[in-house]
Amino acid sequence: MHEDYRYIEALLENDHKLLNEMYQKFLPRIEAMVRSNSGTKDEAFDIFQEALIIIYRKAKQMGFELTSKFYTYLYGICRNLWLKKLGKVKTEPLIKPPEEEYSNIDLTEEAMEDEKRYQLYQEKMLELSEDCQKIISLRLKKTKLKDIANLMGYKNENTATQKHFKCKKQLVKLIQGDDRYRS
Amino acid sequence: MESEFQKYELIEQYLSGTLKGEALNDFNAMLSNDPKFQKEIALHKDIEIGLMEQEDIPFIKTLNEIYENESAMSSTEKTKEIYIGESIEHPQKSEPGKPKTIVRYLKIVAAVAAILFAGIFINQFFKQSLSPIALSEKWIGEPLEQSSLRNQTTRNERLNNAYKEMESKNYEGAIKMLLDIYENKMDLPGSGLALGYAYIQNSQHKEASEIFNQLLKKTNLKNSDQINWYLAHSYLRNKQFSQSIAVLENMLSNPSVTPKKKEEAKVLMEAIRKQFL
Repeated sequence: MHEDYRYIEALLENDHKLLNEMYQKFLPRIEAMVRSNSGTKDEAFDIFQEALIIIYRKAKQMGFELTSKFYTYLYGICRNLWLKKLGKVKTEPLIKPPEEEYSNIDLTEEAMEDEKRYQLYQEKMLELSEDCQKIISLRLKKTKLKDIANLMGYKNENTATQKHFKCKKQLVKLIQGDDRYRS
Repeated sequence: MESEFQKYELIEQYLSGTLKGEALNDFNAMLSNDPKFQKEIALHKDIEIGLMEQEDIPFIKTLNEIYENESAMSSTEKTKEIYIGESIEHPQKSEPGKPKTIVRYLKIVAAVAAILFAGIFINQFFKQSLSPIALSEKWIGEPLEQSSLRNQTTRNERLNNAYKEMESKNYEGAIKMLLDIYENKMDLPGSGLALGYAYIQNSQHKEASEIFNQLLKKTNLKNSDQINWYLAHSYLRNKQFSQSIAVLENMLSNPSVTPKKKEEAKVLMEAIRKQFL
């Protein structure tokens, strides 16, 4: 396991001490990149936070492995996010990636691809009925089916289970039926 | 259908970590022998991750707290720098035998203390004596909020034009443009929030709260805190005080809301209670 995996664990376990270390160690460098490319301190923090969310999601995936330095990974994602925000994705990069900070392009691009896929899931979720959206969201928040039944006014837990089953099935079908998912 | 349902239940248990013991072993065996099933599980897991909302990610709250604390500390440091910089900038001006430097120090200290006390007093004065409506106008009418709205804009020209209309305080014009974007289901980030904001500024508070409530029904919102904040203001200005308080209470109990915003929500809530309830 890579020695920097401790930073991944810090995100997964909400480790205050290490999160503070990451903030002190990495944010100033990200901020320098953003500020030197017409961004502000607040925007740098937004990008930093967004990148950490992307890494957190990636780390939650089955079989995730950190193969580069954590900062390399973080910087690559921040850079991509900032370019995207500047609308420079398809043109020549404004920010030149320093070799030592941006050597693992694959991992970064993979994370950005994940984001596109998640965007698709979110879009498909919005195509479901309001009840379905609500019940799936509640389940994702680990709300008990019994409580969902109460909240949604269903007869009992079984009805909530059946409803969740049908909604999730519909969501999976919508995702699988989209060309962007298949490609 | 039944087997499909049983499979769903198994997947749910596996993903939630409630599948244990022999059942888990059987499941893992099934998983290792069936690539199609592996793919199915991976998709379910991936959907779960992809639909996760920002407010459900525990480290976000911690990170926001660090940021707030650091920002507060760095502004204190800046005050110190000004004071120290001033005292060492003109050392040649102090004549030997005359303690002018000390006098200068004392003057600066007195000035800084006076500014600090005045700041605290004014802050407390505003907190205690401003009416809820005045607080609302102070907090959501200021340019900072408009710029934070602008930060969410995409490079969409129509949306940017609507922002320009808002900047020149032509809220009616902005509403027309934003309605066109919003009603045509162009899911541009920030368009709904901007529309609600323009409604508030144009004193169409009922329309504003309707838009914010519509937005809150969406899932995976990245800016639900900001929407709730505006919703509380639109209820307040529409004289729906209990609803406004309910939204503010909800913000206070939400870990993803920043401490600064919580403080504002608390002050506004107390002002509403004091004046109207």
